[in-house]
Order: sequence, then C-alpha cells, then structure tokens
Amino acid sequence: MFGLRTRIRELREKFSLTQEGLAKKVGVRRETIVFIEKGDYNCSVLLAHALAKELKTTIDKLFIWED
Amino acid sequence: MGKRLDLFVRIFVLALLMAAFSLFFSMPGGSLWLISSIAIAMAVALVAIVAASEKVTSMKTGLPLDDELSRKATWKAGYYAFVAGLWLATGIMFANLAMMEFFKLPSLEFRYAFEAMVIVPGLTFVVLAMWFKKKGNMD
Repeated sequence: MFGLRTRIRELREKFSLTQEGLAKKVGVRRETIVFIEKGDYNCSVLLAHALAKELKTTIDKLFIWED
Repeated sequence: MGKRLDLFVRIFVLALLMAAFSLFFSMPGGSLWLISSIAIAMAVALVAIVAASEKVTSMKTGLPLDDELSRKATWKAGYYAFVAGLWLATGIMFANLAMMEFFKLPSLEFRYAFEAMVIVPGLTFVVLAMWFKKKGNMD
C-alpha cells in the first residue's frame, strides 16, 4: 500500500497562486485542484504534466509516493 | 472522449429521453400515474435548472464546467445506473412471473414497470454522480 503526497500547495503558495488561479491555468475545476492537493484524487499524467509545467517543476518532484 | 463523439452521445441520449417521455405521457392512467408523471417532469426540470446554474457559474468564474474528474465521475455513475437498470428489469421480470405463476396475481401493469425503469436508474445516476464528484477518489 502506498500513499500519494503532493507539493502543489507549497509551490502554488510560492508563486502566489490561488486554487482557482491554478485551476484556470491548467483548465480544470477548482474542486479538482482541492482533491489533488489533499491526495484524494490520482490525476492523469497529462494533468500532472500541466500542473508541473505551471509550477515550474517536474512530475516526480511534484508528486511524492510514500511506501 | 472526442468532441464529436461527446456531441453524438448527448444527442442520442436526448433522443432516447424524448422517445421515452413521449411514450410515457401518451399512456392512459389514474391519479397515481398522473402524480408520478408530474414528479418525474419536475425532477427533469430541477436537473435542467441545476445544470443551467452550473453553466452560469462556470461562465462567470471562467473555470471549465467539466474536467477529467467530473467526466470520470459522470461515466462511472452512468455505468452503475445502467447496471442498476439491468438488475431492476430482470428483477421485475422474475417478480412478475412469480406473482402470476405462484400467487395467481394479475400481471404487473407495463406503465408501472416502465416508471420504475425511468426513476431508479435516473436517481441512481444523479445521486452517484454527485457523490463521486464530492468524494474525489473513485478508485
């Protein structure tokens, strides 16, 4: 069993982005960003790539899998 | 899903709904039938109002109305509603057979079975779609 942790909130705050602002940039609903931040939703690789690109990082640094 | 396929599915579902409701309202019936017909029409109107208000909110905020999570939730709810409909149809068929053969009761009127076949999968879909969208993780 593994857990998924994300650094989206940390990086979003670093770039002074709101959840709504980030959602607009990647073209999803605000609720989806909330679920991804909480680790409640495993998004697609495409969305992960878009998020990583907006937050100027890479997917492996944005999503952390914990054993 | 591609935009053309999405449009095709929407038109197909709308056509099916219109055909179902034409059949539904053209059948004769008593007061129970009338009340339940009005209740279904009101439920459809309510869903349309909710959908319209979501569209207005989406246009105001500039955020999309649906995304990969909501589409996943909708399709999953649709799948469960379809399965519920199949089980219900099978259940009604066998229950009707049992009632007629073992208890010598009259056959279930088609309109009531049809009504159940509209209400149960419809409600299953609406409730599950809302639940999956609220829950987030559907795995």
